[in-house]
Amino acid sequence: MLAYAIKRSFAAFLILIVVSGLTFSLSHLSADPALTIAGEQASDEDIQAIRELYGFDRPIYIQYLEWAGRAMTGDFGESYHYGERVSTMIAGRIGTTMSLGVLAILFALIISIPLGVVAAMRPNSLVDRFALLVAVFGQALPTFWFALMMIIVLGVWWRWLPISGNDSWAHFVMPTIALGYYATPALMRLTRAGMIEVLGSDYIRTARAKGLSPTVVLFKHALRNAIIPVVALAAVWFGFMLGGSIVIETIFNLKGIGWLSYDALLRSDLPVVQAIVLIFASLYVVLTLAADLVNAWLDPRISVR
Amino acid sequence: MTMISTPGKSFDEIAQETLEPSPFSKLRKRIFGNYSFLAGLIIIMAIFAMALLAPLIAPHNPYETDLASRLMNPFWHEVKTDEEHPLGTDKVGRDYLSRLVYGAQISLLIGFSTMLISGTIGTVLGVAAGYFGGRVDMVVNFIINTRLAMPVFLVAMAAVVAFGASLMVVILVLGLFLWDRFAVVMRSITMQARDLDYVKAARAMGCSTPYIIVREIFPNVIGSLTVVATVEMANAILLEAALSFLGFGVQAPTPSWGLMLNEAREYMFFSPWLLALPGACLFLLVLAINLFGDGLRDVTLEKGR
Amino acid sequence: MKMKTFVAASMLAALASTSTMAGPDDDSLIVAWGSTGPIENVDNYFNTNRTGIWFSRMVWDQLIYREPKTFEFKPLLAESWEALSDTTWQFKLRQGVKFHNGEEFDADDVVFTLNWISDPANGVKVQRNVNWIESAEKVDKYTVNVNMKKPFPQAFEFLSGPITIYPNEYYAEVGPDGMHKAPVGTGPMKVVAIETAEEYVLEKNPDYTWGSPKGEAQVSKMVVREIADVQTQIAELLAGGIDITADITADHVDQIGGFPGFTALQAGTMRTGYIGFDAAGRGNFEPTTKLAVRKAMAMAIDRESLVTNLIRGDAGVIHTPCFPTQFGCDESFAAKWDYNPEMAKQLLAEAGYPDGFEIEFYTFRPADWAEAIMADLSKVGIKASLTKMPYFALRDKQRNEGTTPMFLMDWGSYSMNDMSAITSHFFKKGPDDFAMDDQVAAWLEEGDTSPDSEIRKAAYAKAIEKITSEVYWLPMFNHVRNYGFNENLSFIPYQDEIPRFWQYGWNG
Repeated sequence: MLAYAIKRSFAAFLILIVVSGLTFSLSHLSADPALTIAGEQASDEDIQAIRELYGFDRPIYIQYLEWAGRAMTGDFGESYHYGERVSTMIAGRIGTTMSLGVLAILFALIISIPLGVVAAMRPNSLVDRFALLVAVFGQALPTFWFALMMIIVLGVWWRWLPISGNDSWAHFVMPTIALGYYATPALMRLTRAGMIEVLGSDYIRTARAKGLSPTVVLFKHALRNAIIPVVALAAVWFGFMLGGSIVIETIFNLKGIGWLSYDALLRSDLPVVQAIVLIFASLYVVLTLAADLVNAWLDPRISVR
Repeated sequence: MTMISTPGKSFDEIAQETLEPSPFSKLRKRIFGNYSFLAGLIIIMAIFAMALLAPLIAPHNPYETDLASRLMNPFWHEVKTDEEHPLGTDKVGRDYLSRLVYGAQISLLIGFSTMLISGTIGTVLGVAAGYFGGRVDMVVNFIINTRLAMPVFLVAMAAVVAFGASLMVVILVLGLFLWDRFAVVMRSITMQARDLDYVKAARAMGCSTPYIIVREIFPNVIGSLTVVATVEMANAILLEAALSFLGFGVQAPTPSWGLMLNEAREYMFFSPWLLALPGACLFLLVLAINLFGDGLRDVTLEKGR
Repeated sequence: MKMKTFVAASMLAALASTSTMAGPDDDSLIVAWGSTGPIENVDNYFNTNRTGIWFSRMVWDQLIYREPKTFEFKPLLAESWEALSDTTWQFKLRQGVKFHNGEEFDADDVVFTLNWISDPANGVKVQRNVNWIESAEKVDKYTVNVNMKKPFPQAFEFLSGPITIYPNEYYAEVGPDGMHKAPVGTGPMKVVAIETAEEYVLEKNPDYTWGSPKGEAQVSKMVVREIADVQTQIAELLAGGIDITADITADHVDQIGGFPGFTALQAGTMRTGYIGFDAAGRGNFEPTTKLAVRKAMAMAIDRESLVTNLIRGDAGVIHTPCFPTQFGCDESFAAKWDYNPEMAKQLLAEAGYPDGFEIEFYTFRPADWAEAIMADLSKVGIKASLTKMPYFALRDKQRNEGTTPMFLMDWGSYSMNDMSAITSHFFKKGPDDFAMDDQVAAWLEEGDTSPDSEIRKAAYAKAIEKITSEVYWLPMFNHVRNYGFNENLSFIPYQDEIPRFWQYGWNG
């Protein structure tokens, strides 16, 4: 078990090295950081001075090693553009993105679970057909297009909702719907499939035979079982939505991590881009590693394999 | 959009999920017979025909500008319309209908080319891992995990900045990023196929490895390959649209629907059809590919079981 | 038309039913800006944004005021000045001016500011703005001598523009970081709160009553919101969330102006657009190194049509590699290239390209301008393929690789009315120079450093003549700022691309 854990952790570490190395070289290909730091009106001497000061004239692998060494201690350096510590910037902005992610996933669950359950209980009914429609549409609807359409109708024509910023809960309504709808089809499909499977199982049939009321059977037994994988999937979607929020945050002027990465790419603010990529990658790697280790602990055969 | 990487789930399970019939397939069949599959196929064929016959269908050259007749209204308006341009013109006076028609070429080109590149990479990796197992499998697993750890959209944007945006770069970047599902599915199916009796027999008879892979394994995986291909094609089209929309995609004046959406944004409050039309085209194409893919999945699975 | 009527009707209904958030009701003004990104640090010496300039004019003052319409220099924090020598100016300072924190303005503040910013160790971002200053000395409490390293004819451009005066005690204590968090100046608005990349809250400076030519603030409170997306800004404007935006396009001006309750207008600026050619062959692309080809391209592009149809407002075709109001920028010396596609074809044939050629074309601006240019070029057989890149990525490609045979760019001259701010930047053989012309570089150097304005003018004229007749650049047009705002706002447009937001108040 210990050997397995060490092996897996090493692989995870190696993945982070490869991902961050790729990003590092990619972003250094994109622009001369000295020019970015110096700004639009800088003279050539300014730029050369900055190049030497920051050590951009050294080979890229040395720059990478130096960066990686500091990144391991949580030090991502300073933003070229804002001059602030990258860790501070990310810490200050991650709240917005997290709120958006949580709200969006809640929205998706609130839509998909009831629809999925009713669809499963009454296959072929109107509700079921409606659910099908919601799912098929959601899969094919470009998120950003949906967001813009909402702004036109709900924000400008009817003035029901505020359009940009994060001052109040109302500001999160449209971004939440746009981002949440994106996750709805997958979650609903899973709920529906899970419910159909559980409802057909011996265990529910037994519960029914024992004379329990249909409501109790549905909520206490069936739903509870069917919902576990849905929640697991929702957790995954949550991580995924952090990426999807780039477009949504840009459109709704929510200044979270998604917007930050977009802004940083536009102005070649490399330390910010690298840090965000590394954080997302670590999130994935750590989650996977944890899950693998738990599985291995539960089922010792895995570590032998 | 991209593969949902579920922590704790083995690649086999993920592959299984991809290939399972959609929970709605039975319902859909009950409602439409196989009409939705047919509908998907018909729409795809129609769009395909539109792309092929674009020079015949389009009333104008989609690149021909005319500043004097820019921003003409479509035919349902009363003023500032022109019979020459039934759907009006864009901001440099190009015929909007012609650009929409030619846009089909771009979306399909991106969808197919990306799918070919990612399909090739993914299949080679997956089949190799599945067939040889052992160390090869370990290496491939590592590569897949590395790819999954990267936040695709962000890294794709960084790559586009680094190499300069163009149709070719977008296709290559998407192709190099969207192979994960191919690899995972191919790996899993190949593993199953490897243990089939006649494959074992072929091996025992001393047939060469390439022969076995091409003649014995491949026919077994081709169905699943097609299913994954439809999913990835839809993904690629939506991702290109999102990239172009943010300005990290193909270059003007390419008539890409995503880029047209980007250009139309400027007029979203005042000429909403400029935004609505390319969005609807994208939606329709992706919807059709999904319907087609779902249908294909049912057919493949019936045959396979 | 139906759709539009419906939109207008529902918007009107909404206007009637909702109480607007922004507007004249509470004597406040909500501004949106930021389509080119938020200000990284509002300390005037540590950002390079256009909006950073806008912000600095609200919060700080300069020694000298440059009248934005006539370009005359007038007293601001300095009441009068005289030249003691070729390299020394003496300023008499105004008395009775207070900083927002109550600190009194006097010679110590000026001496401290000038010496601090001109010390390279302090890392002011745009060294060009400050590196001509040798030192500043206090003569008495209200008199200061400013020494220059060498005769520097553009000194007043800087002293009336980018160089704002800081309170010495406060700045010495808090530095750029503190100035960013809580800016303190003498200007018409004082800062209440700064939220980086989000919003800035300002209020009227009640002590700004000493007769500054900039005028007192017209509203008691102002909120500036950083909104990167222009469409979002417009949505907010139409929905009543903001009162004014300066980031919209020419087409928006027509559309917003057509809306009841809103006004939109265009104001020309000195931001000069141009097409640059790789005449020096830095990217090893042959056609643009030939003069006949560059002439042909200049004649193939219909700049008039571009300006009339796409830029509009009071923009016009420019023939000089600088903006005509700028010092030294005399249009009569410029070679003018009129639209003449026939002649262009002929020149191309003579240059050995009877069937045209293919060329890569770079820009960071909206693609429609470039697309119109490409369409013109295709009529004479030149097939241009466009690459639109983010600004910094493009500048990097130009400077470090030089592989940009043709590019549509522009330069705002930092709002300085002197042609050294633009032409000398691009044609003195630096990394941005694609002409690499020794003669031009020498003339510009002479123009930049001579204390005699006649000698300067003559040198600049020679440079203009050579640059335009060699078509190193095809000057295009001056850019236009497009403003959309609540119709009750009293708005004043300026040509130097700096809206004075504090001067805008509510009518009635």
